[in-house]
Amino acid sequence: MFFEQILLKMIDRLNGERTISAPFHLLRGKKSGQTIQDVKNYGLTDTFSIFPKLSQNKYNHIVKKMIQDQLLVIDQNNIPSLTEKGIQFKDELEPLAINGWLYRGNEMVFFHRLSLLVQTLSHVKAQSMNFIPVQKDEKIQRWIRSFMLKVPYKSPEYAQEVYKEIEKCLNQAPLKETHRQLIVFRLSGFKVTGLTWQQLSFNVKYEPLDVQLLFTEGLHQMLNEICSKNTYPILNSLAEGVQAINPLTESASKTAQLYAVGNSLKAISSIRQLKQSTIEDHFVEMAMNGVWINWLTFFPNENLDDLKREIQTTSSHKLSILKEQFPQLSFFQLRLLLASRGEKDAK
Amino acid sequence: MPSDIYQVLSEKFGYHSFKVGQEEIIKAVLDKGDVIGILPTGMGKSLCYQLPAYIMPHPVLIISPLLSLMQDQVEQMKLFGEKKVIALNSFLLPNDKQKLLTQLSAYKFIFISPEMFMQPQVLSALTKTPISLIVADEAHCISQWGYDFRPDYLRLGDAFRNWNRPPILALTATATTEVLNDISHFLHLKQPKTVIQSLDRPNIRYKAISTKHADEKYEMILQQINTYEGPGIIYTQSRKKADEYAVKLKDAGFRAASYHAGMEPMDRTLVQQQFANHELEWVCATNAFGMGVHKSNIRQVIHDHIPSSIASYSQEVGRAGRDGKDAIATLFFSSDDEDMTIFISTNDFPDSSQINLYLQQANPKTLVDDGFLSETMYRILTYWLEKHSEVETVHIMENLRHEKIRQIYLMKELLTNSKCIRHQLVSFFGQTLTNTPSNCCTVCGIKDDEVLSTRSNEVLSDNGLNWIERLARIFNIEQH
Repeated sequence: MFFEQILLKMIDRLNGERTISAPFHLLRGKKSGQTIQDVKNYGLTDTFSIFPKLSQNKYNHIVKKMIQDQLLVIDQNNIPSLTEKGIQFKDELEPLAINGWLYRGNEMVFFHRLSLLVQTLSHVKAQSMNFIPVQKDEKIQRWIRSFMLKVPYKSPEYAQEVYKEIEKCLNQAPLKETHRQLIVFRLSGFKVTGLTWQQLSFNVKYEPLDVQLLFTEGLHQMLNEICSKNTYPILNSLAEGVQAINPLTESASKTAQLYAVGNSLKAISSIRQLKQSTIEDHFVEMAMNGVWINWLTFFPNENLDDLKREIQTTSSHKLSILKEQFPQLSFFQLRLLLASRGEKDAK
Repeated sequence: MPSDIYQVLSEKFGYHSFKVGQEEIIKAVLDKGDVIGILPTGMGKSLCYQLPAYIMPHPVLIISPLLSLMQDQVEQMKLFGEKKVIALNSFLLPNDKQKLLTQLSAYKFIFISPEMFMQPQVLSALTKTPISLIVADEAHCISQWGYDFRPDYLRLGDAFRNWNRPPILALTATATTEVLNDISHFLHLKQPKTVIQSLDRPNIRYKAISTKHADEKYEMILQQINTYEGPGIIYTQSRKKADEYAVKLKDAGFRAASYHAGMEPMDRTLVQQQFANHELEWVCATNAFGMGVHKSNIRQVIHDHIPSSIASYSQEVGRAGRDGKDAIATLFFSSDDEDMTIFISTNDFPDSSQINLYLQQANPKTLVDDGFLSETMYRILTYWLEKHSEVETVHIMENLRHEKIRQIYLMKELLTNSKCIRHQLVSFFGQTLTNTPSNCCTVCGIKDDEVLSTRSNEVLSDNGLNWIERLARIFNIEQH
């Protein structure tokens, strides 16, 4: 239910300018220039990357069902819009307390660390150190192993501290009871095994997708609480690197570094063995996030200030419309200009 | 001999006697010859190489065809305190791999996937490392007559040929004459000693019950598990069905959950652990549930369909009664079941148009992304088209498909021909049975209540969703 409402909200924001696949890429947190630009242009930072594992099949299935339920229609250009019923349904959604742009799916890294730590401490306490880790991911296992070398994990007081921090955080963060239940019942310990999504869904009586959404929301709230105060030293360590400090995607970041030391767009493309269009995506992302780029190299013959002013006054974010208006500019140039506008909007 | 095998058995494994067959295999391995060991599933296969490893000077290399099986084996070994164990598979990061390859001798057990084994740099590192024994686990995967053919496994033989290699131990729980010949042939074994154990599991009793309609099955399953004790597994054919059963059984008051490959890895681990911890009584599963099921007291295995082969049926029911106590395997089938089974198990063999499509495409991998080929089809074609022409490959696929269908009819035949099920199972693997237990099977006659205890109507201690209490329980903290 929440999932459908969120989708409606996104489609509404996309203003009839994007196809039905745009929300899918946004939800999965696709790191392409187009999707990143959509995030900023349409103000969709909250839902970015909140379903990194959503499958195309599942998505298509839900969309189809929503069309059947007359919540939305899709035109011949594959562009969705809301029906009257869809608008009503969308408006029933309570505001979400998620920040996908900030956490980008990393909230699960935090939770995986937490769950492995909790499982380990629980077994230490039960003096039964032979157990199968609930987290198979080598990265997480390695992180926790090196973390535990630095803490007195064998002392009962330490386990008590972790317990207290979790309980306090769950109480202090602005959470609903369902959030707390989902997070705690997903954890495992000695002779207590966490529940699967299906089991959680059965118990709290929400659809599996909604359960995952509530779970993510709960984690975001916990992380906001942990990172904004200094009263959770242990949880704070577990949240290391979880918030996106660098607004750029990893790949764009590499491009930015190469650019900063004097390489041209073309040079970067050949150094990194990536298509020029990919590097262009990175430049758009950089422009959007206020990373310095030398505009004159990309607009050698244009009056940049005039262009920026003109683009400011057009309401559309759709490239094909803008291209009609500015036929002399390339798509890349238009995207850079749009990005600069997003930048101003954000400020 | 540096160490007495009985001494190692008790010191390292805490046992005082071997299970049947283990000793013979271990002695043959220590004599440094090639060995094919055939033991029923879950009857201590891994001890056959783990024990010699503590006597032999150099590492043991275990080739394991299934990634999940490998992870599981490594996990189990670590669980029992062995730290010098490593898995070389596609999960490894490139840097780690480089490093590990230079220090292979530091490990006692090196698990490796066939794909990884074939990489030149890996193979070169391995040939430079002194190795005491090579183990081909699940060796039947090398045979296209086996029920789980892995083309990748075939290539191993090529690597062995050009290598002055240590002895090989091929292990399998499934071995017909064809499969045995294939193992020996493709792995280039040198006069292997074959140790075959009785594949009969006398404590498992077999029931095959025909139903008029497919929709009667659920009621019959429900009655069966309402009357007789678990824990148990219900095998079904689709993910959807597994989910449906789980929901229905939960509504009927059972502690049940589903398990299939559509669930995310963490959920799958959780179900395995809940089952092992007795937090679950019944798992409703597709055939994906197998690896990672380490539970010795499974009392019932139920099928609601005709399995795809006698070999896979035998492996699935073989998960029951590993503690040696009585167990029942019940199979419900209706007359039209085989059509569904045929569809499901031949669906992944590419047909001539798909083979053609593969050859037309410059980068055939995109066909998988675009949904024209399944992952399995792609794997099969990549292997076969490397060595064979289009026409040959079409022909091979035809043959494989026919063989699959033949296996299904053999299974159906076993269920319907009114001969003793146990006799047929054992003779399928090339053995003859001398004794049958009482309450052998539905053909010989079986009274469930002489085999299983009735289900005690347990009261579900359900504290609902009290998270405060749950958190305290995880941390084992007294609440006031």
